[in-house]
Amino acid sequence: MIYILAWRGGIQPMRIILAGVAVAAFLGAGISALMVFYSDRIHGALMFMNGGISGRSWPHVWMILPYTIGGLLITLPMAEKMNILVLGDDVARGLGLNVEWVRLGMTAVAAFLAASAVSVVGLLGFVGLIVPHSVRLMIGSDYKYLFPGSALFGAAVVMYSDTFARTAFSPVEIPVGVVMAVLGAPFFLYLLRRD
Amino acid sequence: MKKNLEILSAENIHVKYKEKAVLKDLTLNIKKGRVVSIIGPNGSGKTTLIRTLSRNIKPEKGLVLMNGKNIFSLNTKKVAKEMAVLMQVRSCPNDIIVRDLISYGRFAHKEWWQGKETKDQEVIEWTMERTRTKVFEDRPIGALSGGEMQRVWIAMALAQKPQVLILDEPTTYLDICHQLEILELVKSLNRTEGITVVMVLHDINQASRYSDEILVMKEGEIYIQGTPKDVITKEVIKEVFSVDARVHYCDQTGMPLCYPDKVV
Repeated sequence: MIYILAWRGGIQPMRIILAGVAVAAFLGAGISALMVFYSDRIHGALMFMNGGISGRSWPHVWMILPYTIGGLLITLPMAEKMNILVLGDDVARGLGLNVEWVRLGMTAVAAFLAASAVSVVGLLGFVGLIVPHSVRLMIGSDYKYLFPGSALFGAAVVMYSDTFARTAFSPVEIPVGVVMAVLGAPFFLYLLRRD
Repeated sequence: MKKNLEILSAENIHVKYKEKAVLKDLTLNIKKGRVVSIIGPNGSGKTTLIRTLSRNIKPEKGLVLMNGKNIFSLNTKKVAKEMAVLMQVRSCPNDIIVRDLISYGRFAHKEWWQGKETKDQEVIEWTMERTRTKVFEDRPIGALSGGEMQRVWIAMALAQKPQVLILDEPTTYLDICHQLEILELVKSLNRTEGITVVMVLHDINQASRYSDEILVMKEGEIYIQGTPKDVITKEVIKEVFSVDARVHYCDQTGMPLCYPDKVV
């Protein structure tokens, strides 16, 4: 939907971001409205919005496993196409890449994978921001390694943050989403400064 | 194939940017095996023209034909096997290795399940040999100089094994030695491999020296197309560039050389 909104005879990253912000604000308003009208049932929603893996177990894994495997099977062979796409639209098209389809397809797969993960753990937003960028810093920009690297490092980061969240102020358990945001926000700002 | 066959042509192409017409009903023909340079003042539509010829802009009206077939209805991979494009503005992660970047030129020749085929490796070796990029094949792009970088991009285009090579200002930002090096390379690719070259150049004298044909653009139209001797004249320079210039003929090559004197 964001892709459609941002489309105007082509696609530009800036327009995608702005369209994304607008859609998020719009849907956020919907969430706020629901929370105001049903304030008695707000606890579950709050837990979801903070995200976390407490109380998640094997049934949840089985639930998202098919989506994860499906997504990975589509993603991994796309690595070379992604490598070519980062060279820019004109160059990529010159090399024979179907730019619009690859971008649309990869956006769809990314949204699909993110949605399946979010349906189980809630909104752990900062993983998606920190992990791919840190992995890129560590192992370079070749998508052949970036895809599996991000998947593994993402899992590791969440595990460590969760362990930290459970043990740091024991017996009080802080939501892992909070830990991620506390770590993630400064790192994100550091990335902004860096570029 | 016959020597004079048209390999690339545009028929009445019309391109608008917002409300302004950038290319006005433009028709052109490029013959196989030629080196064709496009010159013209800033904003005359040179880059738009080659972006249209290379299917990066879809014209509002008109057709672009490669070997008689409409490039916008052909499979984009199929086009890439016959036409390679090198635009002036491009970006690339600094840590990508030269050899990897060149190998992307083989993308159109592979199916997605194929890995590193021997045939592809042979072509890559050959292009690196030809463009003298082999010596730094293991280096990251970020460690190269402007001239080396340009040779790598040409190597990538060459790995496509194209019949037509389209270049947008291949010599801009290079010092004079590297400019000559690139133009010599392009010329020799044309002579030995028979690749048709279409390039935008800013330097009129370089265009004159290295082209079989020059195409002069003015305000979205082709002002004149012909051999350097037909095209590089006092009158054309004055009309198109608004510059008073003297045109002499080189005593070695016989090609026209222009000395700009003053703005009209």
